[in-house]
Amino acid sequence: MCLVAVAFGNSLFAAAVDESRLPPPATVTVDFNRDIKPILDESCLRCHGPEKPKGGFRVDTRELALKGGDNGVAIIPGESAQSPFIHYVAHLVEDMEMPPVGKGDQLTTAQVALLRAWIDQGVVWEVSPSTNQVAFTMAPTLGWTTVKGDEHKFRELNWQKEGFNGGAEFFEFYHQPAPHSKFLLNGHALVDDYKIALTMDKTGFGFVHTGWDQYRKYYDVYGGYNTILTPAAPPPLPGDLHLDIGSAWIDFGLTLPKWPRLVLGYEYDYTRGNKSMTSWGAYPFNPNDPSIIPERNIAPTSKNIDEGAHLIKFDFDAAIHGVAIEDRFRGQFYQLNTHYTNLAARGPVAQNASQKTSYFQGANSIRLEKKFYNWLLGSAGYLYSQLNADGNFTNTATYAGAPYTGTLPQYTLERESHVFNVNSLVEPFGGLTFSAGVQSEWTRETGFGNGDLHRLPFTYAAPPLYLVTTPTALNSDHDENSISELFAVRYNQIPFTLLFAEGRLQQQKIGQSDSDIQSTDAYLDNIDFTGNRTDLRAGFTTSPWRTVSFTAHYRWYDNDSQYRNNQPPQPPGTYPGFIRSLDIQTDEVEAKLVLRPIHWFKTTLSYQYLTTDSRTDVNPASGGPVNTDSPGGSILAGESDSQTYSIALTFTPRPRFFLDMAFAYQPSSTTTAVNGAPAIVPYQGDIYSVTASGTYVLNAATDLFGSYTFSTADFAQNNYAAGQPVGIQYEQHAVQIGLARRLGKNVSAQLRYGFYKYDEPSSGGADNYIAQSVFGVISLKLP
Amino acid sequence: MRVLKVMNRHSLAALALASSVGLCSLLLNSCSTVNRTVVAPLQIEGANYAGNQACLDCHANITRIFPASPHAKLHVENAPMAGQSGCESCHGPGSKHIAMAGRGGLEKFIINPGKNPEGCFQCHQEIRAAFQFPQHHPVMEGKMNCVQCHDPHGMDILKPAGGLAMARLNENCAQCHREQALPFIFQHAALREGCTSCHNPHGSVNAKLLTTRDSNLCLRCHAQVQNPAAPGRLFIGNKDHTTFTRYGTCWTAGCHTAIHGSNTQPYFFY
Repeated sequence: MCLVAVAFGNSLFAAAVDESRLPPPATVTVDFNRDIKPILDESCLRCHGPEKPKGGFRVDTRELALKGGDNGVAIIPGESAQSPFIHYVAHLVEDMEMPPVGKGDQLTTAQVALLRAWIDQGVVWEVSPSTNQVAFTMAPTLGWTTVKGDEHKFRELNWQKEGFNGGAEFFEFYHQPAPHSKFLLNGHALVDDYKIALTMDKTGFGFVHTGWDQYRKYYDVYGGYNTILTPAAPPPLPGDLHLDIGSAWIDFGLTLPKWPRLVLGYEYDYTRGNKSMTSWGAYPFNPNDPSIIPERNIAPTSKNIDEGAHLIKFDFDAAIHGVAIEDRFRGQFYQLNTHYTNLAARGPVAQNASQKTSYFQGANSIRLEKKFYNWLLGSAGYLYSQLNADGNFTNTATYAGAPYTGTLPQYTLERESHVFNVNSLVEPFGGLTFSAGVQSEWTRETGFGNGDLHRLPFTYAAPPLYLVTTPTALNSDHDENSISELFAVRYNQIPFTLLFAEGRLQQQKIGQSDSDIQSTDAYLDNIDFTGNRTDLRAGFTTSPWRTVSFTAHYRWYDNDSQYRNNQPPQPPGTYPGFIRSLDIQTDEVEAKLVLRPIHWFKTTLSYQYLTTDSRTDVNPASGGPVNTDSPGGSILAGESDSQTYSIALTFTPRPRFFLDMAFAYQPSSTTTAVNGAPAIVPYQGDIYSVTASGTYVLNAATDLFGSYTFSTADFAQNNYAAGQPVGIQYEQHAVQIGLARRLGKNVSAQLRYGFYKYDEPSSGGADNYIAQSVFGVISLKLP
Repeated sequence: MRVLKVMNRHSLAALALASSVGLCSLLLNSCSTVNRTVVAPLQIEGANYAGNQACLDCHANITRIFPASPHAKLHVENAPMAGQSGCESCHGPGSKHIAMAGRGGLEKFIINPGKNPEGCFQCHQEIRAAFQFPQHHPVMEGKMNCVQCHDPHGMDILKPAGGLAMARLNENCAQCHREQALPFIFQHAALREGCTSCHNPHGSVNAKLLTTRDSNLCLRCHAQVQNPAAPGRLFIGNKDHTTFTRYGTCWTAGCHTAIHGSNTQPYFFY
């Protein structure tokens, strides 16, 4: 017997090791790949690999294995009997048994004997060349989609364009030149949809991640207008409306052992193109008398967007004395150019409004997290953010051939925020957890601008009076203080059951001053705002038998906003700053029952009831010519109710067949206090949706698969006589069926057929389409 | 039944065709011997459930904060129903993932909701339905994923991943929708209630993911006591809006188009 000193943590103690209990070394000449590597892979690498190695000890390379870990040297070449590594795997050291109890099976005597022989024979570490160091996968695709009807609506709803589509549905090149180095290039390249990502990773040293992706969001050229209302239908918006949304990025990371994790990166996010707006223009105007406001006919509008954000990022992560430190810096240079037009053909006043905004925002957050005791985890953070923006605005309105230009040559905006946050997670005794957080925020925002502006709504068929511009001074100053609290309690000592309660509270104060000063019209606002938000939820989850799981909760939400108007004198006929209070209250009940009576069948039944009331209290209108028309007071302004019933079924009756189906039914309504105004009717209707998907293994080489989605809504309105029936009624179907077949060891093929149908009676059928698509994909894998 | 009533003949024919092909295939092949089995969602070929303890070893940074997560309420100790509780209820069976630890490529043997929403849909089936509505964020199309907006393990679900920390209002939307999250000289107070007071972020039957398609959306907060002597007239503030509401909705009729905020107009005209 001898004494071996074993360093454990920060203490040094001597552990007596009875070497006589060790099995003798194996007498064979050890082959690392045949005899040792399987043991390390199976029993050691899970915890002592390159990712977060326990005790700082790694066995993924010879150099690191011999170096040892926090406990010192573990493997002494030529001296297996004295190597702590052997003592641990032979379970000779109490509390250092490897693999730990419950984390893996104890090594057999024969395995320990092999490890002893390996150490005694000099820790030979000859890794055989991997047979999978390079892999290449490519899935070229070719397809065609035909659309009968509104192809623009098809693009918008299905995120794809009709006609030819093809390219690479997926590609990947994987190269592992060394055990802990990785080179991965993957992505896809289809029409209007690209992604390429490159990852170069060396475990324990660093990484480079870079890439670019871009996809296209399409818009219908009718902008959601209702053709029923336009006896002489206006032309659709010109061109192929879409936005290209993309991002390019590169991150350099340093992940040296014992060093902080450092990441320096750059990202460019952009959005470019033209989108349709829900804003409509009046159409047609009366050419014989342009001053007559067309009240009922409408036409779509569009907006050009050129948005770009350059983002510089720096991440720092470290653990010092058990405190995890996380720092994030983001510097953002942002520029936005927009251009609205309502087109001359859509009313008596053609407007072209351009706006440009640019800013720099610097933000840094630091967060500390520490586990003080096994039952107490705490964290604290601080965020500082500063944003400085400026911009300009020009609107040229043309009426009867004469231009009227309103400009705001420069406006400036500033926003500064300080946010402090403290959180804790407490587990005082088994089964009870309590977490809580407090966050305080102070934000100051100011805005300022001077110019000559119209008093003209965007697509309003305005009389000439509104075309005249007037000198205008704009100003705003907001000073916001808020405190938010978050808490959650969970208790799971009741058999098979967990009880929970959670809440989110917020108290907010804003000192607000806004003004729009001009000679003919003015707006002055000076408000002390206080808000109290309460969001509470309580419920339980239980699973008393293998076949049943049930969860339910009740939620109560209230947001009470009070506005104290420090009302400055208003010019006659202007905005009175009328809301004194707004109280929004929500009740929600949700229940979900999961049944699995037999192993191949599972069903989930769920129900949700949600109701929200909004109550307002307003001042009587005062100071204007119509001040007697609104007496003020408290009113239930709006009520929204919805219920959702859903059922999901999952079948796997045979090993070769799988079917998943879900059905949901959602009736909902929103009604508001409108004094019987005939143009406004309740927004109410039902939504039904069905999804189904399945796969069937036809034979050893072939799979059949299919899916079906359906949804329909009926929120149609019948108030044509008084206003715009702006509700919606539609039904949408999408069927996909396909066949996948393995053609060889490394080759497979897929053939897919799709059928799409959309009907929208509420748009007079202008949006309807039927589409069909056929796609073929070949997947190649090398080697 | 209502659903069948709204399906017209074209749809039913396509559905019947697909069903017939499937049934014929089943009949023709149900007796043949095939060793392969279908891999249903959340299953991982060849993998078994390993239990939460196995996850603790490598993912301590997640598991130590997870008890503070709203999702922790679904973790019932010793729940008899397999795969219905714990890490593997969202990530699928983990035995193969664990077996690959230290050897690279282990990410291919676990369900990652950052890439595949199926793990989330096991419980949130109403969200899966919302993503099938005509207007939706492109999650099903693979262009977005759940964890871009939600932290499934941290203390606050309403933010991107970030541990034991709290969200700021609207910050998950502002990551991408910078134009709407800009400071403005004149701001719409509705943003203090949050983007979700007007938008259904997962999916909607209405354009722009709006919760309501008509003026009721705004009147929920802007309706006020009307003059009983003027029935049928609709005043908002001290403006008679009765005629304006005939043009369309508050934001589509050509008036309050810059509804998130404006740098030129307190009434949000631009």
